[in-house]
Amino acid sequence: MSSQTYVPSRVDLKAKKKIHISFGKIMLYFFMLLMLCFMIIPLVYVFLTSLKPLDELLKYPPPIFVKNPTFQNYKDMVTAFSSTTVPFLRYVFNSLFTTLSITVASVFVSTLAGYSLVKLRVKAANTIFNIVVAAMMFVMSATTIMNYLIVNEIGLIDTYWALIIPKIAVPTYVFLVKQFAEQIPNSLLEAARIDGATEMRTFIRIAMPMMKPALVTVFMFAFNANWSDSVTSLYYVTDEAKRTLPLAITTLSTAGGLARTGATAAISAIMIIPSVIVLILSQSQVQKTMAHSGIKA
Amino acid sequence: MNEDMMNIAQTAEMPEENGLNNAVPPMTFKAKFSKWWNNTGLGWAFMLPFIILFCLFVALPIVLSLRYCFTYYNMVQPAQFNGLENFRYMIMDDDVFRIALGNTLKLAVVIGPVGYIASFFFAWVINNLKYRTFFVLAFYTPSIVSSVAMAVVWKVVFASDRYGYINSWLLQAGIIDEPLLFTQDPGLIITVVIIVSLWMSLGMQFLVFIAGLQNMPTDLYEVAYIDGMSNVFQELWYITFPMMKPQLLFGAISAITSAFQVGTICTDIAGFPSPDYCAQTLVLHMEDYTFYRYELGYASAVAIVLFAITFTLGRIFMKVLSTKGEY
Repeated sequence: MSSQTYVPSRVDLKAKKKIHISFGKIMLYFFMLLMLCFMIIPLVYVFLTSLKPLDELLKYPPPIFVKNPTFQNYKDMVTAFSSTTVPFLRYVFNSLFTTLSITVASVFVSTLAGYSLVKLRVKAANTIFNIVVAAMMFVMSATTIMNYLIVNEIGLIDTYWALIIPKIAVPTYVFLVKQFAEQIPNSLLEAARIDGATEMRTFIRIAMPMMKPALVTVFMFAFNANWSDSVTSLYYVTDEAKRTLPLAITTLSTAGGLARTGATAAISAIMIIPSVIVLILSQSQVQKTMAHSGIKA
Repeated sequence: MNEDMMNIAQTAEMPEENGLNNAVPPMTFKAKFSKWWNNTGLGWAFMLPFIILFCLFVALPIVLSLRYCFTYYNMVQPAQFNGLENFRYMIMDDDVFRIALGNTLKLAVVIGPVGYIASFFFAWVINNLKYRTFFVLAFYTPSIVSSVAMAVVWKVVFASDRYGYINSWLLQAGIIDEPLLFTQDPGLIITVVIIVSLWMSLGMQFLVFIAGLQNMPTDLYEVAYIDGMSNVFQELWYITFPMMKPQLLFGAISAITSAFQVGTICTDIAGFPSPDYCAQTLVLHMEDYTFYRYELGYASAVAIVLFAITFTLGRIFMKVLSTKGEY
């Protein structure tokens, strides 16, 4: 009977404590392992390629693993830019500087807005929130073109500001903070107010520490979205000295051809590492935040 | 209470005490201001940075697109009103737009639903597995890494000569005689873009689903089990889905916007412009008309089409996954 083999997924019944190895379960694990390989092998492959010496890069059929790992590609990556006007480290600096600026500003702006939407008795809060949710449904890259016009009009084209300012306000981040701030008990904030703390003090001393998971989550999303973005840097600045790492990859891979594969892989690996580190460091906080992120429409 | 807090409490109560002592309470400007500041001022002050940036870089672009989509505008001369000419040209004469729309819809129809369902399926399976966190990280990472950085992999895997992994495996297995032209053949390019996009599609919605599933109240399942629920499909259909409607809606919105946003991946795989524009998408078409042809009016019209599609789909999902009257 089917009801004997069925165990509800989260119920801690005695039946579940027995190690129950069925054919289905083995197949499931096998399938998941296969999917896991599909997901992470391309990522691992970037690192393996970046360590391959030239003769292994040109072999046929192409080997997946490295026989004689070398850091030559990382040296090539730096020297490849020595003939051009912009040194490699400049791209790294540009990427780090713009990404961190946007991210910190994004966290700041969305925290203030998200908190005030639910806890500071703003009269138009509902209207503003509805606009934010509606804005989440628009494809943000479709605003790229008109933003170009606006950035041009303000006179920011070809400056770092052009890469930073247009990307700070993101509806989704405000939404996430607001949803998370909603579950801070009002009684706690009220207690602080009765004790005579100003609104500002209540926010800094009581609300901020409680909203830490939401702030970390916005940081993670904003960092990764902007770290890997190549579009703004391509169109909003023309000065090569202000361009970011993704553009350095494009330049190297289109100009260098097959001989530059190793160096391209090395930059790619450098692009991937920060994303993964930020994700790993933030994941437990992200899980807490996302639990509150449903939309009740 | 510590001394510090006492001081604050006293200073804050000062004006009110004065007011009680006098018959006519005179509100000083300072007291008025601080009352207003605590009740409304601070809220708006907190909101202001977001509102300014939002209006300037999110709302204004949408409004400007609406304005310029009825004009011819090249950034040098002032915009000239030309009615529905942009839309007429788009539908009747622009063959590349037709390719771009076709590709975007094709990609969205596959990536949207498949990515959405896969996100839920994997979230659901992973939630019951051991080493949950490890699986979550491994499945989520592809969606955050730079697609430009991954191009180095796809170029080798899908290379059009016999050095490509797929081609060399298929040749060795004897399935094909000639290498497949993955980056040149129009039909194959889109297939490659779909595969790569699917690899990256377990995005924000995946995290929402995982979190939602993890926070499901267990007693519901227990009650249903006692009441005679007999398989996991009933469990999913009668408890998990209805309970997760808000998360499913958030996931749907983020899946829709990311499915219609595909553009950079096409450029990474097929170059820009791709051979005969076969890998053109709406986002790329828009960028092409803005940054290479300086026809911002027409680009706005394309943007409006894109806005209209995603907004309508988002609204539909809001209706379908509505939780009004349930709580």
